[in-house]
Amino acid sequence: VTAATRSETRGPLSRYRILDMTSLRGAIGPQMLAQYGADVIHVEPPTGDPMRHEPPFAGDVADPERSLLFLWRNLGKRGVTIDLGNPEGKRLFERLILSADVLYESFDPGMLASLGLGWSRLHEINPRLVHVSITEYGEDGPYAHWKGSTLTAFAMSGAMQVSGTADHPPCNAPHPIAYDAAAVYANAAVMMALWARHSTGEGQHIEISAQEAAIGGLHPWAVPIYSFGNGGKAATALNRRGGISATIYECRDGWVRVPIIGDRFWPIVRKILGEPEALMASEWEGQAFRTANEDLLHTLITEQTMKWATEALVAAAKSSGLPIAAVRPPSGFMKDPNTLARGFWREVEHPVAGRAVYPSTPVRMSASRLEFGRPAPRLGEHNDEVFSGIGLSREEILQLRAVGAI
Amino acid sequence: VAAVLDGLRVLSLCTGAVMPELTRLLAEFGADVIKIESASMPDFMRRVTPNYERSPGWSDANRNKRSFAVDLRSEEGRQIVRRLAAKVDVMGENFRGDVVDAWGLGYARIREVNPRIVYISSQGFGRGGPDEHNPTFGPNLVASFGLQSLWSHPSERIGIGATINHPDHLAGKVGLVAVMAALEQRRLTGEGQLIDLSQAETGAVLMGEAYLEWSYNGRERRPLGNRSLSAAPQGAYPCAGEDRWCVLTIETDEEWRRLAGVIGRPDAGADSRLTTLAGRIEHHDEIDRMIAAWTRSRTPSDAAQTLQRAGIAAGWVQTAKDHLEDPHLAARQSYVQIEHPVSGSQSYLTNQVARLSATPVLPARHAPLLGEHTDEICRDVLGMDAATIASLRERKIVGF
Repeated sequence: VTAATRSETRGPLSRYRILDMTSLRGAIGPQMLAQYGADVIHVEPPTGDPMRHEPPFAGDVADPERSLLFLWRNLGKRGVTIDLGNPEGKRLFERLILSADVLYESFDPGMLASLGLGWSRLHEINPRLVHVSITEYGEDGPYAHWKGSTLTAFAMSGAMQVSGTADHPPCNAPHPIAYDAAAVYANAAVMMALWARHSTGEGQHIEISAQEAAIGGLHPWAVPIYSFGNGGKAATALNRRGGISATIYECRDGWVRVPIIGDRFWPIVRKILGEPEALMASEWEGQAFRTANEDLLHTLITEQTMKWATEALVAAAKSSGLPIAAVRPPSGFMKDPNTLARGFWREVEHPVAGRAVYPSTPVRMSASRLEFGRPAPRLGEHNDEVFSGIGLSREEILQLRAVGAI
Repeated sequence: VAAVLDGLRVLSLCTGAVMPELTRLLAEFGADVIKIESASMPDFMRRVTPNYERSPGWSDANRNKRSFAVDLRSEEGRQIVRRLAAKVDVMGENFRGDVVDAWGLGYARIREVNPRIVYISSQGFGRGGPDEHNPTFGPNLVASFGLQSLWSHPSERIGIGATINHPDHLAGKVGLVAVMAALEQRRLTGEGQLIDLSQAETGAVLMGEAYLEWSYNGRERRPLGNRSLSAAPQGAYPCAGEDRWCVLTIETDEEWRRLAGVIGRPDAGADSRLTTLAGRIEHHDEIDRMIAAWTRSRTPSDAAQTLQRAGIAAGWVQTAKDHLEDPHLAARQSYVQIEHPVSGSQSYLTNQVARLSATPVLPARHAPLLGEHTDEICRDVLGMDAATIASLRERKIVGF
């Protein structure tokens, strides 16, 4: 049975409205919930989400509607503008909160409270509201008010220590991976709070520390391994090798990655490489010996893989049941037959940026409709429809615009 | 207050990280999670240490579950698992594409005995394509979807990535959301369904803008290492000690002036070549040398704390040892010790990240010993009498 999407009329989360006030720290979270049909409304200040100014841009034209980061991370959301610092803007926000199931935000700790919109006030306005806050370090503890960035969040997670190679400084990840971990945990927590609400009738506050989420979502076993004895050794530069047991090997025209984890794959590796003398010693059959001598093993294996063209080696290894992949650029995945067969890539038409192929969702569901295709909102695009939807008259909306509240 | 998932029962037929961590979260939020395994076919994470019960990764990923030892190589054992599947709300598996079907434990078969079941299946590349039966691990997935090619300093020959098992530790949580969405739908329709989760596509979704660069602009993204297109300087700087590094990010011109003051270079703060982002990006190497001259004599935490006092985003490349000694993580109890019947309480495991004010997770309970709960599950869930259990044990169908 394959989980091909059946045509339900609405997604499984279509009864929920999520107000999204995230920055890069969390924006992918509500985007992923929108795929299940949730009505996600991205609330920006009238000056626009700063992410709109992040390069690079579609067509290399610097324009707030063309930031690739913004276009991807706000896909599927509607967009409104509200100035929370304006008294009428704040009143409007409180009305919008009444209509919402979830407030999903990543302000620094205390920011909403300083506007008189802290959790206790929000709970008073709408007792059913689920409020999730993603902060750098959580809302308490000595670093609660420290400033952060995608780099500092990755470094403080423990994952950067083993990122890159020993002869270079530790290397940052190429996307905001610590913040993405926070969004992924926040989504799981939101689902739990909505489920709890079925029986309690009440919303609650959820606190997510990006540092803790990055520990749990990227490198959770470093401390367990260190503290379980393990000779009491902390990771050093020598552990920064890019792959478990140096599993990246060069071929004639590229590179492959072959994680040889456990003992069952070793005989297959040897066989594919033509059972060369140097790899036939029985000592190599044990994971512990391979790990202890991984530099030598890497050299010996590379001597063999250099005789291969990358795609030929990948094909041979795949048909023998070995975990393998060519090291490909992003466009390689866009041409990957497996993702094409699964329908992972979709065309999206954006009124300013134009039409382009986007990734979609990693999930297929046999009995749920997943929604995909609404482009990222233009600044204030849905002000009229969202605000009239909560009962504002045309005159009221014009008035809010006149005073700069929206 | 009852736990969020009180009354929900889950069958976890899984190994490694992705699905065990998905079912760990369900267990922490109160579901009764039954882990299926056996001595002949243990979760491979148990085997990474000489003692089955002392594997750190296993212990972290499987807490709060019950273990049911049953021999999946025997039809009688598989029949017992089908009987269990008839009594659960959620079932998860992450074997290669054809394995559970061969056991008669795939969705098509289970649905016949339990149409309400939410069944999640997760493979590296997902179902329905030519790679569905391939074995995978995180490291070959990050190579395949393009992340590794971007993960290096610009001077390096090849993207090298990290010694972490990405996207494994995030895929389970992404799958959890799909499970909860399916349960939401089941409240309305009464019907379960199959969820198919691709771990590679999970990693791809988190870097979607890299594909947009190809589809909008027709070019590949280039590795930036520790640098940024919208902040400078940004980098990792050597500190006192072996392989110790402080990191910082300067987003505004004002932050740059403050940084220049902190590192004793107010002259650089006033240097007109460096007062704009574009100028600092152009002269980044020169700025890096100034910062390193200041960090080199300081410990990474001293450097970061001094910078934070000046309102600069800074931190350091923390190690496992740093985490256990860190006052912030200690104050927040980000790691917990769990009493364990074999390994004691010497180990630290990750605490739950999601902190819910009204319905927090259950207290952490040790990951089960192999088969620890076999008898009680036979008795209480399957309704077997003592003689039946004894017979199954004697024939090594359960308990081994």
